[in-house]
Amino acid sequence: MTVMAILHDVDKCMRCNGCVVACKREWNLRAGTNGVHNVSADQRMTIKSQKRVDMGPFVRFSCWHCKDAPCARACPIKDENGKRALTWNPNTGAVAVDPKICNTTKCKDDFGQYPCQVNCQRGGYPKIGKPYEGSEWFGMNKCILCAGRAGAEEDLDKSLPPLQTRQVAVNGKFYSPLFPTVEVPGLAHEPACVSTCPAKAMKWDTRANIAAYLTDPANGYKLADGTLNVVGGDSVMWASRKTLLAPPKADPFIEDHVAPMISGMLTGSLAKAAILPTLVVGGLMAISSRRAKNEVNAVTGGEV
Amino acid sequence: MTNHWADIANTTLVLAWGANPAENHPACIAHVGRARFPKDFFPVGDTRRNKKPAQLIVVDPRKTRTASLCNELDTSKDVGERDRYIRIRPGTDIALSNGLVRYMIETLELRPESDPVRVGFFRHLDQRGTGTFWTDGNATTAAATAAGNVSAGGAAGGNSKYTDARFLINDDGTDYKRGRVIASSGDIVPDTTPKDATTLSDFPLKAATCNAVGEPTVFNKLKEHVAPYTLPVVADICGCTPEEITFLGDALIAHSKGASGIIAGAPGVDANGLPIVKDARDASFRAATILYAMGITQHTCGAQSIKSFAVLQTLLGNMGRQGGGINALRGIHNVQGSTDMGLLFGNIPAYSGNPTLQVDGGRDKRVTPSTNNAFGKYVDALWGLPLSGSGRKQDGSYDDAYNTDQMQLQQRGFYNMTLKWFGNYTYVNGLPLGVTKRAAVDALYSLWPKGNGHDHVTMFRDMASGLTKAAVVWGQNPAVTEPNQGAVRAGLYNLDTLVCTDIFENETHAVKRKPGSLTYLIPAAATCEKAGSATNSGRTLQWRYEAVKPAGNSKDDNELLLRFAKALDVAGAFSHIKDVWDANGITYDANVLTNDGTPVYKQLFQLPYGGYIGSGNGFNAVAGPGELVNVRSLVSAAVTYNIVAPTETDAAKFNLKGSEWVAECVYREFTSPVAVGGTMWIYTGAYNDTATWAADNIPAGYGGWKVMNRAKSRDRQDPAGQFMSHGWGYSWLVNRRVFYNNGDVPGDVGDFFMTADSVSRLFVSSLPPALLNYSRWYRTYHKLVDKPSPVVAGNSASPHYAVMLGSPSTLKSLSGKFPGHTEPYETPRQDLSADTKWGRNTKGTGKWDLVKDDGKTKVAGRGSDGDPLASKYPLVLTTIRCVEHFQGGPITRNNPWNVELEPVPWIELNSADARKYGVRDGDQVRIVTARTEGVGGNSQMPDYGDGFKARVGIGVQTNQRVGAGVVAIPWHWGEKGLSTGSRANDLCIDAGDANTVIPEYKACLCRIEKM
Repeated sequence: MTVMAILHDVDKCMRCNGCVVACKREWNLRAGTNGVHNVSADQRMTIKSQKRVDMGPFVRFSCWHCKDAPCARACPIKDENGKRALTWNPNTGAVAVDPKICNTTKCKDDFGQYPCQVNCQRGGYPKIGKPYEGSEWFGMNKCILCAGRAGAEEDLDKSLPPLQTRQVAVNGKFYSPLFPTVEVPGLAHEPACVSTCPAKAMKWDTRANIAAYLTDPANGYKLADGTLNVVGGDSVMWASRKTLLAPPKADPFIEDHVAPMISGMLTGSLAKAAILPTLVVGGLMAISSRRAKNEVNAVTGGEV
Repeated sequence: MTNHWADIANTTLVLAWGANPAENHPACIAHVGRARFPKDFFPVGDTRRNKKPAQLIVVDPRKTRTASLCNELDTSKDVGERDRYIRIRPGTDIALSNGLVRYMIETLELRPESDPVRVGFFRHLDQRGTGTFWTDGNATTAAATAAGNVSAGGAAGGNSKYTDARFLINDDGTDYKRGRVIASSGDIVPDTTPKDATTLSDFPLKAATCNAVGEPTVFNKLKEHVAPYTLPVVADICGCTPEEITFLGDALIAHSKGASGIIAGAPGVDANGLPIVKDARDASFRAATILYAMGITQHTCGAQSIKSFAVLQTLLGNMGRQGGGINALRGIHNVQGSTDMGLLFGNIPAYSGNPTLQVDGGRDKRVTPSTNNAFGKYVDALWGLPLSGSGRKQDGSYDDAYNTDQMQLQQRGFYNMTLKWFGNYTYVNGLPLGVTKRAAVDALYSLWPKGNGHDHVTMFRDMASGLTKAAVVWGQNPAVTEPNQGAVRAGLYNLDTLVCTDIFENETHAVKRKPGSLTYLIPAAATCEKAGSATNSGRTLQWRYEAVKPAGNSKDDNELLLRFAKALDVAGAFSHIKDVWDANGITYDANVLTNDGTPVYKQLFQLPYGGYIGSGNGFNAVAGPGELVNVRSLVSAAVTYNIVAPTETDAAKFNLKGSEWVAECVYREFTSPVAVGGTMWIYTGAYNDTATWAADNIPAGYGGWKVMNRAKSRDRQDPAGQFMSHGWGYSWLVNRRVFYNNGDVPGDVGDFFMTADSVSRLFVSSLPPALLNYSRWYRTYHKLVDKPSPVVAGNSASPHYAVMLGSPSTLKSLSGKFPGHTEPYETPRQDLSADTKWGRNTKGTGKWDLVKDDGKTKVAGRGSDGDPLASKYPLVLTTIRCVEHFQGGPITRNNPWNVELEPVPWIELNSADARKYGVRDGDQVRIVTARTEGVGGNSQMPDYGDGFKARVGIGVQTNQRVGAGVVAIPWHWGEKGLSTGSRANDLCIDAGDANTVIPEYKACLCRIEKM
């Protein structure tokens, strides 16, 4: 198998949130009570950051599926065969958690933090909680590129039906949407968010194909200075021909739930502030700069 | 849509005007994306990559998410080819459209005569047809070349192929100038020539060219009509800049038919003067499509606004072309189907007007043989053979009107409906022509309800007055969706019986009701729980399978209808039908005798719809033979169809059960070819099991149909590579994908403007419907009932004055015949709405108001409280939709995921207005209109009646959702469901368009109050 990836074309996204609902439907996740603007603990992906009255670009937030992911390396929980609960699979590119192995009661570090959260370099996409309504299991939960469904990997949860792929097999084979003569078996395991997107703003292909597509100057993602207007680069990428992209650093979950805690932490136990560097790197700057910009524009209210 | 969804990919200019497909038609955006980014969608080597990437222009009062897709700063394109968002004031679309017409004509006429775009523009308007055109009457054909201009001595050459631009308008501006045509020679003679069997009367006269100097051609009159719409005038009305108008006008010219196919500065024209490049895959191909939705229709001038698009696209030559057309984006997957099925109050199924003529002078429900041939006279007004007038094809006994051999599609469809829905088709159809058959058909025709029902505004008034005692509300939620809820809820309150059929308890069922009244809620099956066909915006029928069984005790609509019919039958409601049958000797099918119920129920419902027995078992007990359709295998062209005829012995594979079988029976009845009894003439052939079924109405290259039920066909082939996909579903009429194509669209079913009366129209006659003897196709006048401008005779202050025809004593405005700007019913620009200026739309019946004159509609500035408009209601209120919620909301406001995405309504406000009224972003505010002024405490308007309360969202200075002076609110909410919120329609005005009674949801006056 090859490393697969999602390319999110920011220009085509219109924030219909079809991907968010598809993800929830696919994984049987409950709806939060506070509106999508306050992200639930088990939200795996979201198109957020825009107020109703603002305009694009609309950016997908979810796990980046980093190559040799630091969260996976930090995971201390292993089964009897030495397999970690959280793994980066070089054959697929997915950073996936095995619910049979994950045990959040045993993995907290000296500061009481979960290693996967602390070590997430993108602002803490892993969340701890029940993965879906009715689950008896409580553990780490995030986008896993729909791995573990329909035979893409080991069946992580047999209680869920197989992933429905909408990709069309031609004589039993799957071909790259970007390079039609290249066969891509991994296409059969297209994630639910990509399948659903009515704007076709997401593409599911091998990381190599996507890289070749983005770096071809004819496709228009090269800026005047020769750099690519592309961020990401692991198994989730963002590209635009229209808007200068900055990495979507902060998981909105942090903005809603974790960042408000930080002020409390600063006045509390100094030891707990050890989590701060990660958060600052991951997202706090982005949060504060966005907040400041909003204040300049006299926008002080909540999301509308 | 005149074109279809997949065809949007062929366009080079997407003009989204009064539509927000990114939110409200999300499935549309992939088609727009294919047009805009062909290289992203089509792999290397696919010829569709070569097409010019489409420009996107959005015209809307609100900067929608569709507008946010625009890339206005794309430095890789010339400035004129970049995307653009243009903001206009709500309700000023016609002013902009007419301004564009004036600007475009002016611009083109200033270009040198050899300019290829100018050449192409006038070539299209003047284009003569080749060959002969069809006529009727005893004269059969006339040479097209001879039908010329009377005033120029005849034989000016050729009938118009595409437009009426060369037609002459009579002096009073009410109609074309008309003469008589000698059918055998094609010569046009004056009207004084005696009629005989070989003359075609009422034939429109034409000039040699559309812009012939001094001739009253449609084109010249249109130019006069739009003369007042200068750039500064239009910019003032619309609140946009003159540069924005010229930008849009230039873009439209650049994407017209005349600009298409220009190679090396010269028009590509073949020997017949036709453009060579018709193929959207060519880099020089140009076409513009207009996508519109409720932003255009929901005005008192809605029909005129759509007419203005017809004028624009007809002038540009974009009708009947790939990537062109006027495309109404339907808000529900089956809205096209619902209008096809005659759910509107003025139509029976398939767009025939309601029958009005009664048998023998008003005595319906015949129990004695009729003598006035009422059926024949009604079908005379339908598409097909003329029965009266000089060119009639009718023998002395009137039998032709009852002769299926002489009927065209629409006439035959009505005949089939009448016989199948009110009697025994096999028996009556088998009667020999003559008095007996005419009497039998007339007897069944007498069972049709006559005349129109009531529009949805009047309907609730009738409930309030007690005229209407009971209502069945089926899959609707008028207690959220109808404007002026005070009047609506007063009507619902007063009903004796209210029956709601829905998948959730909605606001309508929960509405406050008078003591002692009865309210029922019948659980209906959701879309995925029942089978049937749905017709999408592109007129394509597609089958929808029953994916899961209905939840709980809920029922398929078909089953509910049949149960209703059975209950009515038991209660004796059909006894009058039996009386008519008995009196006229109409028998019923012998097969019906074996089951329960009366012969009427059995003949009309049980037999045609799958043998449903109506008690106990419901649909699960019925089954019948279908065809094997392997849906998964059909989605790939590379997979061979696995279809075998339903006569195969493997019965289990073909056995359709319950909902699937009953829906199949209904479908076969209305989509079979009309020649074998299909009732819906526009759907004719969508089911076909005749000898030629595999090859009918599918172009060569597809290899024929694989299924008889073509709504189930999922052939993804596109042999011409032009987004036609004739094998995917079935588009009416006879599977053509681009309407009015004149044979210009390669690979599509030919559709010809064959006669003088079916070319696309710039001008609309206001004369009453009359039969035009020369035309076999559309023999009634195109007609709009409104008169958009006030009486302006002698009033030189009115802009309409400039377009007067003739001498001052016969002054008449051409507004209405051509679209003209009128102000919304409640407008902040009273300087423009004055009778001496642009006026407001009127009904033209002497009654100036389009709102009900019964005191139930409070109108700002026209009510009892004087005229405090400017100070009391200074803002324009417009209603909007969001992607997360659907229509009146019962479905989405009961779905936790949707509620999570958009839990409460909101208010959009411009930052300038926010500063003015001291409102800050996130404040809770209240919107008040004349309808909600002082309504708080009204017992019929619980919860929200006194205004729209929500948090306000204010754009930032450089990024404003709405313009200054405009407030936008979503209307999906009400007081039931998981998510509740203010009802926008408490506020909206129920002023309606005179043609359609669609209310003016998009513009009324309001004020904003801090809470």
